[in-house]
Amino acid sequence: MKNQLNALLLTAALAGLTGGTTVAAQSANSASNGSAHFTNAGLNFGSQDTPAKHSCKGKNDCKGQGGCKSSDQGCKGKNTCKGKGGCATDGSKMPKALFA
Amino acid sequence: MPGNRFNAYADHTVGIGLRIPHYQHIFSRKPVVDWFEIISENFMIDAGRPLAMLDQIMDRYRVVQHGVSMYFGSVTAPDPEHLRRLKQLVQRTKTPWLSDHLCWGSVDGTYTHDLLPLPYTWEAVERTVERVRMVQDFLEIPVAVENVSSYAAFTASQMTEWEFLTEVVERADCGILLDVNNIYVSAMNHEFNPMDYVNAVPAHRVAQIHIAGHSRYEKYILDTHDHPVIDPVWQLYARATERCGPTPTLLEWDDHIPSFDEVHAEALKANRYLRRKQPAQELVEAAS
Amino acid sequence: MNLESIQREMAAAVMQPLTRDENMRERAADGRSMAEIAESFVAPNSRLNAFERLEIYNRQYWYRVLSALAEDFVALRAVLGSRKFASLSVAYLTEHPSRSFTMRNLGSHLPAWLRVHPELTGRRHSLAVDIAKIEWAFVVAFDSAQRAPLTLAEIAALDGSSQLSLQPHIELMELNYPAENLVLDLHQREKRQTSEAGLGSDEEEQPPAKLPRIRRKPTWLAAHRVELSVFYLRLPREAFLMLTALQEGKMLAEAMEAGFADSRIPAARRAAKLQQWFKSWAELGWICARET
Repeated sequence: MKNQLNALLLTAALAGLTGGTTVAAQSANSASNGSAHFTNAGLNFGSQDTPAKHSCKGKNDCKGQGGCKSSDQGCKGKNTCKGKGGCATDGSKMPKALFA
Repeated sequence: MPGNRFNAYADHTVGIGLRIPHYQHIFSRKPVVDWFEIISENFMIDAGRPLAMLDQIMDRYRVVQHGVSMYFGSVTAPDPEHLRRLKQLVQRTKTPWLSDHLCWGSVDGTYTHDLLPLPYTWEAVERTVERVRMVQDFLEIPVAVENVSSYAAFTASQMTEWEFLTEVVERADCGILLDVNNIYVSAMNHEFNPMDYVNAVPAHRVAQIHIAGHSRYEKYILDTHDHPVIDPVWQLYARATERCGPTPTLLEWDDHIPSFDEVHAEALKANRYLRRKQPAQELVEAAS
Repeated sequence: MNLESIQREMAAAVMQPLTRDENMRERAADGRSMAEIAESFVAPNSRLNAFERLEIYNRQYWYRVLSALAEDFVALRAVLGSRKFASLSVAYLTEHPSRSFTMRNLGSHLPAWLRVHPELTGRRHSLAVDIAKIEWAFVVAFDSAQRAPLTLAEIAALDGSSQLSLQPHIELMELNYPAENLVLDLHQREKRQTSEAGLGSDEEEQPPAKLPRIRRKPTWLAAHRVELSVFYLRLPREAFLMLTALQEGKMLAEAMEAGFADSRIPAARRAAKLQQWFKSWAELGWICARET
């Protein structure tokens, strides 16, 4: 009895697989170009680009404040910049350019 | 562009880094760009949108790969999975040459994801040469090593950075990706003359040049890639192209990325130097 | 000091958590003075001593990995608030530093790690764990491999002892809350705030988000990719168990048995359900031949 039941379930599963595969093939070949796949796919989180993780930039401790341009008054008032000396206001604290 | 064996005799002129905020502009406006540089690690995946976007880019543009995690100077061996995926991407992009940094960043299988400077010692030369040779042999394309921006120097160093670079590239017989902004940043942070560096580099090995902007803090400069190129860096670039001849040049802009047009216009300023008649005397001397 | 010792010492220093004020700690984990450690291999310059130069890399490491992790767990950060999220991220990354060449894998252990650290999430612990699972599933579904689904010829050769596999981009989740809509809402809210406030809004301290009422309810979810988009599909418990068994390499008959163990679905309706589920999964291209 159990074997019969299992055989019935297996037949159902295989019938489902066959039916679904046929539908997918038809859908892929049709002009809709597979858009039928979306109808039972669930909640769409979209095809957005996730931010690229890798680059070779140095990580700025004043991120989001436009960096530290020569006219900036430093990166004051941000926790992430505390105690790091902020930005030079005119670069004068760096050594003068050492060009030959 | 005459090209050389370290960039597979490429005729690439001025390119920009391929960045996601520019995708829409690139796909809709199809701007004329000589080439794009991609960060390999952002595409060393199995499937999905990043690779689909890359394929679309490659339909129209030339792409050159630039890596950030090969860590030629790390003492522990590279991850075979990393190498396998990198080669897979090389085969996909058909990049004529490939670059990564002269640095280290992982130890015992743990990754810092930073470009950490090496002590300029003979031991580091040997380790790095071995790794560069191995990667070059495995990938079967020319490899160029890039000088990094650094904020710390080592008490163990036995030579200058440019002497170290020269030793590595000569012994590994590889190319150089000369980042003139990084030279400037390191020069300010380590108090040396950046022009001494540019003048000492083996010019005939320069496969590519990087230009970028940086951020200046009170006591150091950080290589943030979030500003236009400053004049002193253009001066280094001018000298580099004078020595190397016209060389594939790429602008990196990675943070607070402005419009595509703004980035591209900044990069194209390089043409002011590339289009000058270049005697490239030192290349002639090196070849003879 | 040889190259290997320098790299081990420097990596340990760089990856050591910062102080509350985002400075390098005065002491290493083993109690040694960080100033002495720095001086043992870093040279000073005229403006910065060895400690300060090493500190630049220490900060840079944490800014880089913390921002990479935050990009993948936007909703978790919103639910916990930026301060709590930052502390748990530091604790997590200290225990699970990156072991991969790519930062794509930074968050791979976060859902399981978070589950055993309720002290770091507060009263929203169970919801936080579910959200972490849902967000990590996005990373997997976004760029994992896509294999060829079963063909009609392969289906014709199947029997109860066949072993199948699922698309590598499918991530199956057992949750305490039906939280995928909440995650989507929080992502959209974050996107709006970023575009309105411009870059840099991520640096300001964000209190925990006010959430709509969400009731605890056992939920079974699959994250998967269709073409280039990621979807979240609710599954009946039985379907979830069956798919999990298939993913684990169980035989088809065993997987069906696992699915219906303790099921409330009447025996008479099971065949119809099975046919419907397998049809739907095949339409989505979920079922593949077992890799040899």
